[in-house]
Order: sequence, then C-alpha cells, then structure tokens
Amino acid sequence: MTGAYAIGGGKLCLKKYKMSATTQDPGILMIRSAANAAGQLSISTTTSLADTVGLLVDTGVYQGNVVEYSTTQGDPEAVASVIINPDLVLRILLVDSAANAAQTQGEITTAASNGLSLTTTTGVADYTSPQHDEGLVWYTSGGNASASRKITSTAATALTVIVPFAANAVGDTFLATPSNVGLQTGTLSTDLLNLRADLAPTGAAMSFVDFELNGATSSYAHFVATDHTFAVVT
Amino acid sequence: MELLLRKPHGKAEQLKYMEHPGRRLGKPHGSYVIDLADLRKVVVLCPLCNSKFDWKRHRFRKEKEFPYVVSKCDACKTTDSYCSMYIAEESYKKVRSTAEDRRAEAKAFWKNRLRRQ
Repeated sequence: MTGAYAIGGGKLCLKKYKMSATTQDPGILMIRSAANAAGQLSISTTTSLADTVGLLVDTGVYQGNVVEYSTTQGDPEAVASVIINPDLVLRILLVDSAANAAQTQGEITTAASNGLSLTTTTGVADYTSPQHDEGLVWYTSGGNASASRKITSTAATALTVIVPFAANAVGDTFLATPSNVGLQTGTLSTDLLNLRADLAPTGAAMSFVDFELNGATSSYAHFVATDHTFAVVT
Repeated sequence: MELLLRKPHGKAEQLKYMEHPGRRLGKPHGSYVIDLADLRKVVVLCPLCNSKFDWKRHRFRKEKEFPYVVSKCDACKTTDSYCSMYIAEESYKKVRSTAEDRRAEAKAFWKNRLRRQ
C-alpha cells in the first residue's frame, strides 16, 4: 500500500522508531509493540491493524543486504521511518487471493434492458459468498464502461442496483467488490500490501474513503486506519 | 509558581520518548546522513541543512506533493515543521502514490480499453 494524501490536506509527520522484529518491505502498516517487546514497532497482521502507528516507508538495506533486527551486542539498532498521521489516506490494490491474484471479472450472460441487474455465470462463483451486497460494481467494457453503482441486493449469479445503468449487453465485463465507502473493516493479503476483494469486509480496522475503479489489476481502495495509536485510545 | 511534584507524563512526552534520538552526539552530520542514504533509509532535512545533501547523486527522490514534513532533521536533530523528505528511488513507488501516478494509471487502462471497443 502507498500513502496517497491526508484527509486534512496537511503536512506529513515522519518519525523514526525502533523495530521489534526483522524489518519488512516498506509499504506496510506498523502497529504498536506489545508489552515487553524489544522495540516500539511491530508488524501488523492480515486481519488486525489494532493500534496502528503508521506506514513504514524505508527498508534496512545496506549495500544489498538487509540490516536485520538483532539483539546481539555491537550490532546496529534496527530503526525504521513511519508516517504517523492518523488521517493519512492509504491507497491499496484490490486483489482476489492471499497471494495477490487479479480480481475475477464477470461477463454479462443475460442482458438487462432496464440496467438494474448484472447477471453472469462466468464471474465470481457466488456473489452472496462473500456477500457483495452494499459493495460496489463497475463496468470495464461495453456501453457502461467506467460507470459504477452501489450494489443493493445479490443472488449467486446476479447483482442488483437501484440507480440504473444504461442497458447492458451480453459480453460486457464488470468487476465488483464487497467493500464500499464508510465500511470499516477489511482483510489484507499475506504480504500485507494489498486488500482482499474476494472476502467479506471483516477483519482489520480500516475505513474506506474512496475507490479508484479501473481494471482487474489496477483498481484501488483508499482508506484510513481507524484504530490508530495517535487517534484512538484503546 | 510551579509545584515541585512528580507529574505523570502526558501524551506529548510519551511520543517524545518513543522517537529514536537520531544521530549520536559527536558523529559528524554529513557522515550520519550519508550512512542513512547508504542504508536506503528516508532522509529528512530541515531548511538549513537541505542544501548540504546531494539527493540526486545518492539516487533519492524529493517528496514534492508534501513539500513540508513535520519531523526531526537527521543532520542537526532539530524538530522542524518545514523539513524536506527524501525517499530512495527504488522505494518511492512502494510507499507513495502521487496524483500524477494515479492519473497515468487510470488513463492507461481506460484509454486502451475504450480504444478496443
């Protein structure tokens, strides 16, 4: 994930804190270390961003070698830079598996002239599991290309909206995500860099601010970490 | 008048204690910043120290969308609201997305897609 902008539009605040474990690649969220941990920063998990400290922005690489977290006397201390703004909006790629597979694209198999339903037998196997109701759907080809709507009800092979699209045609493609603006949880991929769009929005505390609705490998969610050490007392 | 009683630490003090103290006293400013650059760490410099770091030579990218960053200068150790942030070129795309990147990505996808129709 990447830091995109701050809700208030203000400056970033950057701090250098001590690591409690081997440094990971930058672009993940770090959380506050538990009691008696070696340092101040611990690595978040796929389903927990509790007590987020901020976005990790640098690596501990020295001349091609990763500088490991170490408790050996004489070794350098592992310190990492984090952007700690609680209102930092993070941009995260939508993926369809723990290993970052591209999103599954649906293809209209029954046309709807009223534009209220998207019926497919080629997309996600069952749009009720994970439940896509209250999520977002957008077309990636056809006459509705780039148009999006909120999903208001689902069936295994169909999505329904209230604000109609233009009539669709067999073969038009679309993507959908169970997440939507204002929903407040999500699950990260194993590398903690991307957001699972193939799972119901449960798990880590995050509040969705916006979406960039492009293709199966280029659509992003924007969110803020809502369980932030410097914003929430828990 | 101030009472000479032990006071509990506030949030500001706690934050201050959490932060890494930065350059060790006695270590020259320049070599500490070069060490950070070699480690490919983020370098933060206040307006007075900015001109002393050749970020292009060290293959760093200056953060321009956020021209000012609140942080402690890696050289003079002063907390300043007008610091500049430099991110290693190879890390930049992993941690920052600029409006320009977002615009280019959306344009690339939809231009290709609409051309095919």
